[in-house]
Order: sequence, then structure tokens, then C-alpha cells
Amino acid sequence: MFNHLKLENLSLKNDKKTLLYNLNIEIVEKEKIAVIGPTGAGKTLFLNLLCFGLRPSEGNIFVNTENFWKKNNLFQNQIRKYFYLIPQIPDMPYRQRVISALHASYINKWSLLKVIASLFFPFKKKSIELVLKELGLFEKIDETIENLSGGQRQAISLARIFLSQPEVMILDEPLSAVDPNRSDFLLKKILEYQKKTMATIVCSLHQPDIAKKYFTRVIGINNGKIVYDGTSNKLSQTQQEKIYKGK
Amino acid sequence: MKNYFLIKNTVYLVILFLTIIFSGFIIEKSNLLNLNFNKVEEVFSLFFPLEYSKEFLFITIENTFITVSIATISILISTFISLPMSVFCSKNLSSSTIFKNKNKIKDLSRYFLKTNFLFLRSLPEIIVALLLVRILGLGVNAAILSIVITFTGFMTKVFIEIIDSSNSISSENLIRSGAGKFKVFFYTTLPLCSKEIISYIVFRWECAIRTSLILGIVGAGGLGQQMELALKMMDLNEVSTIVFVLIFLVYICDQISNLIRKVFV
Repeated sequence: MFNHLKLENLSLKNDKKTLLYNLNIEIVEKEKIAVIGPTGAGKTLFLNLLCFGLRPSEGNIFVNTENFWKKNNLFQNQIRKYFYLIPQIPDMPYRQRVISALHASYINKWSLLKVIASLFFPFKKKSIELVLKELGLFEKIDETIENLSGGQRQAISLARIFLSQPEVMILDEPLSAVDPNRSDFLLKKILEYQKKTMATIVCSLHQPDIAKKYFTRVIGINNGKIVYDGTSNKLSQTQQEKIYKGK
Repeated sequence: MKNYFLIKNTVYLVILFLTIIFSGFIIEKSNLLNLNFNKVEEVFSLFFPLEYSKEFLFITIENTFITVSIATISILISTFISLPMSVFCSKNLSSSTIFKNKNKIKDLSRYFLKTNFLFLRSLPEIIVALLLVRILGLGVNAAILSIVITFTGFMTKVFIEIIDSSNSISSENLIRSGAGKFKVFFYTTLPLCSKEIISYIVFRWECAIRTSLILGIVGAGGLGQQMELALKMMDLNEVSTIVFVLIFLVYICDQISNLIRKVFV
């Protein structure tokens, strides 16, 4: 069970420069967090660090008081199953059909034999159909990914997180390829699922208004540093300017 | 200045002329052009008419089936060995590469596994078969085993390249959420690279048919062995029938592999 995540003096460097400086953050279960900041500020890297996709150059990450990167592989894999990240650009293979792309969200919980069998007998067809119906994409179930539009791909990518029901949902700009109407609909769906599964949600966004309206906590990142970390209703206009312009 | 170029060109011309004369001298000395066309017609006529007695054709067809089945079985076995091995060896599906775990034991074991496959493909099939015929005796087993040994090396190498050159983002994301490399292989790598993998397996099958013909000459059964025996007995009519069957067989195999590529790729 996940209940507590703590980043301690975390920083991330590549060969040339530091990408993220000295992050100190605590995330508790059932929180709704929006991550905002200008393009290239380091939002995606931050989310990747949260789901253990990148090894930090310095500092520690504690999950339920255990230091994640100092534990063995078995423990790490057990913890990884609580987290699910949806990348900004949908990452499903182009030649895959929608139904098997969605089956992929279950495979970290299944045994290898069940995974192989599921290629021939789709066990979870009913729940997949249900989610697709809710998203209005039911007729696309047998299409291949390459025949879908960018927005539809993003919706299928979101359906993956609904089906896998992780304890921490991490979404990297889930609304970047959809029109405003649809983005409102998708965001409501995401929050609905969050309410149903009582999951923690960390979502990077480009619209501060939406962050203020739907999320309880906002983290503002500029140039690899955290410039704001607080409740969403205390986020003032000047602080928004500070996040986006770095003043 | 004008004189200089004239002298230079004349020297070149003389050198060219001398070279031609010299090479003509060598050819004359070595009897290279002294071909004897008297016997060619005689030998050529021995190859015709084609042998088409019922018994002979029956044996030829049986041997054709043996050749094709040697190729098919050995390709099946080497695919079943090389696919899992390439999943083990590929960097794209390894969590220690993705998360930069500096795990020296894993790197070392991957290196040794890769080197093993290099040893497998270092000897040509025909030499492996020559050794195996001594160990296992004449017959189909030696042919199958020698094709499996060498082709597993080739196929593993190519499959590793295919998997490592595919888009790693989709597999990384599933590994990040705690799925094992084989599960990820079935759900992302296979849909991504299935065309390349199937196309390469079919190509190797064609190669295996040609190889099994050659291995027949070493004594490993099939059409090759029949041809070798006929040549030794100077039954040249039979040899010419077998050559026609071979050409037809390769054509049919090409058509079959085209069909497979059309359906799956």
C-alpha cells in the first residue's frame, strides 16, 4: 500500500548541466496535485522522478519510509506497480490494436503465462468495452493505433490508467492534444476515477485556471527549481507570473 | 613545355604496349587459351535425356520433402531458441540499462551470452556438418543440428539488433510500472517489430533450404546426397533431373515466402 512519498534534496544532472535543483517535497495519499510551469521547465523530468523512471543524481526518495533506490530489484518492482505514468506523447505501438493496447495496462499484475494467454483470449474485454463506452470510443476497439487521431490516442492512453487502477496516477499533460470541450470532459472523467479508486493524482498542466479549479495543491516549477508549493486557492496572479516568467 | 607532355605521353604508351605484350606472353606460356572444345559436346550429351522412371521420381520427391523438412524443423528450433535469448540480451528491455543501475554482474552475463552466440556463428554450416557427421553418423540429424547451431547464432544477433533499434519509449513505460521483460516483449516489442522478425525468419528459411542441399553432399540426407551419389555413379541423366527439381524447389520456396510476407508483413 502506498501512503507517503518524500523527496529529499533531490537533484538531476546530465553530462553538461543540472536539470532539477534540490527538490524537497512530500506527497501524501489521496492528494490532488497539479504541476504547472513554462515549457522546458522540467515538469516531465519531475514526473519521471516521481514514478522512479529516472535515477536521481543526488538525494533520496522515500516510499513509506523505505529508501527506494537503495532497495533490491524485487522490492523496487513491487513498489513500481503502485505507480502508473501516462506520457505526454502516447506511447503505444502503431501496429497494435486498441484492445491489446489496453490489455497492456494489466500485464504488470499478471503472471507470464496469463500474459501469453491474453494475447489469444482477451480476458478483460468487458471492462475495456465499458471504459471505451464512457470515453465515446467504443467503435474503435478493433482499430489499430495508427488509424486513430492524436486526441483519440491520448484518450486511449488515459483509458490505460483507468484500467490499471494504480494507487498513484501520474499524468503528463493529458489534455494537450484535445479541444477545450473534450479536455473538460476528460478531466472530469479523470477526477471521477480518482474519487472512485481513492488514488493520489499528480498531473502536469498548461492551464493555471484548471489547476486552481480542480486540484487541491499546486506545484510550480521554473527553470528546474520549485518556485511555488501550496494550496491551489492561495495561488495569486503575482505568483503565477513568478512561475511562468521567473520574476 | 609542349615537348615535356609529348615525352610523358610517349613513355606511357610504351609502358602500355610492353604490358600488353608481356601479358600475351604469359597467357601463351600458361596454355590459358588452349581450350579443348572437342569433349564438351560429348559430355553434355550424357546429361540428356532426363531420367523420369517412376521409381526414381518417387525417390526424388521423397528426398525433396526430406530437404524441405530439414530446413523447416531447424528454422523452427532456432527461432524458439533465439527469440528468448535475444530478449535476454537486448538492452532495450533491460531494467538495469533503463534505470542506470550499475549492475556489473548483469552486464557481464549479457556480454558472455552474446559472445557465446558469436562462437556459434563463427564456423560455416558445412564444417559443423562435417564434424557432426563424424559424431552422429550419416543422416538427417547431423544436418538439422548443424543448421540449428549456426543459424541460432545469426538469428539471435539480428533479433537483438531489431529489438534494440525499435522505439524504446513504449517498452520503457511498461517496465517503469513494474512489468517483466518477457511480458513487455509480448505486448510492445512484438507488435513493433513483428514484421521485421517474420521477414527475417522467412529469409532464413530460404537460406536453410539452400544450406540443407549443400549439407546433403557431406552426407546429411536429402536431395543433395542423392545428387552426390548420382554424380559418383556417373548417372548424369539423374543429375540433370535433380538439378531441374532443385531450381523448381527454390522457385516454389520463393513463392511461399512471398505469400507469407504478404499475409503477415
